[in-house]
Amino acid sequence: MKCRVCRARAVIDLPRHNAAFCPPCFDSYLMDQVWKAIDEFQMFTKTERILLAVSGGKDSLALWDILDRLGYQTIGYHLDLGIGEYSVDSLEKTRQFAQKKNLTLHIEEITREAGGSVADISEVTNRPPCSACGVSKRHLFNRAAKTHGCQVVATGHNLDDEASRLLGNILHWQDGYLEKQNPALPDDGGLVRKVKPLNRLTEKEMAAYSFLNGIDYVVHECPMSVNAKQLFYKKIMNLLEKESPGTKQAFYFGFLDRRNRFYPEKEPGEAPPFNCQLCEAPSYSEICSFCRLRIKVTSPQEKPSRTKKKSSSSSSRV
Amino acid sequence: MSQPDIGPTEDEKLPSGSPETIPVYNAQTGIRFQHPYRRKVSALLRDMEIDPETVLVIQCNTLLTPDESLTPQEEVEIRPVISGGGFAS
Ligand code: SF4
Ligand SMILES: [Zn+2]
Ligand SMILES: [Zn+2]
Repeated sequence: MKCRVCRARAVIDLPRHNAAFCPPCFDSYLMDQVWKAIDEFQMFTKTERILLAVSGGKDSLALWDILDRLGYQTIGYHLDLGIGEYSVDSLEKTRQFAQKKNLTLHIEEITREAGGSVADISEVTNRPPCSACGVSKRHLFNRAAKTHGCQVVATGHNLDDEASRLLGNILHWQDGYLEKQNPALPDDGGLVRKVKPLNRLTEKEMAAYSFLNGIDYVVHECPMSVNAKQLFYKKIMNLLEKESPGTKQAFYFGFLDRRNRFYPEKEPGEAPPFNCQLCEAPSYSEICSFCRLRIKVTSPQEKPSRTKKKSSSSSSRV
Repeated sequence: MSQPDIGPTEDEKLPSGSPETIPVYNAQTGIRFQHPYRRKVSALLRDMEIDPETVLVIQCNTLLTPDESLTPQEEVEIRPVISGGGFAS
């Protein structure tokens, strides 16, 4: 297979674009896609500080690399989820990357912040692990952004993440989630702006970028994802894509084009009426949902059955 | 993705003297095994019922597209790219 641009030997083929690229031309294509996403949705500017949620996986490490190359101001934030070997590896890879690139990284541990690991929270609150994880991340990412003077939180969600999420939300007509399925959510009600600059790129493209740029990421999956619905929806999207290349992007971008028709843009909301009595985060009740979760996890009656991991530090800088 | 077993196509028939197997490494599970040798990446993936869009195929530190030929004896890394579980992160 030859590169569509320069006819050199291709290392990746992209059936959805009916194209194949050699490493340098793939790099130009990929950087251009990220730049387009940032520009189209006015995600951030070069004068803003971006809190980048870095898990240690291919997407977030690649995004960190890309934003740094594009000259944006990034602060890495890693949340240690307390998921055994997987979390140990994720932290290690994230640390190594930050050190190698001389980038600022802040680390927090969920066991210290929420009182237990993802598994503990899931058990005590009766939520699926990914939901327990999501509630904690939302709160802690937002808090970290404010603490470190960042105007925006960026995550490494890619086109596959977004298309499969859209499929799940449509199958169950989750209006509340569909309304918010936007690669750039403005700051609203005390929550800082949230953006997804990789929404034009697939998992395979991000994995290829990481490989070609020598990024050492966690290849194995979070063990909590085994039964996660999202993997099932990704499988369905990939079956559709195989039969008809381009379906995934047509589905997702078609939705974004029509989103305003179904869910008209609202004026920025009023800030929630309360500040949480415990953490001062803006909240719709006197105690915010994250603090309620933490109270439950740490209450002696609810103590999770598993042994809690001891935490040693709450924040560090590489 | 499953494909009906139609045997090797003309293009995939092995020349005499080809090795019987090729070492394969699944980077997600960490498992190494021997698989019947196939000349093309696409044939190996089809054999293993893997959708090429869901993996990187790496040999000798190089990314291979499905039409590429595999070097006999050299380990082939199959690196799954699909990740995720949570919608809410
Ligand atoms: S798979 Fe679920 S538990 Fe694991 S990191 Fe993702 S959202 Fe969290
Ligand atoms: Zn080229
Ligand atoms: Zn609170």
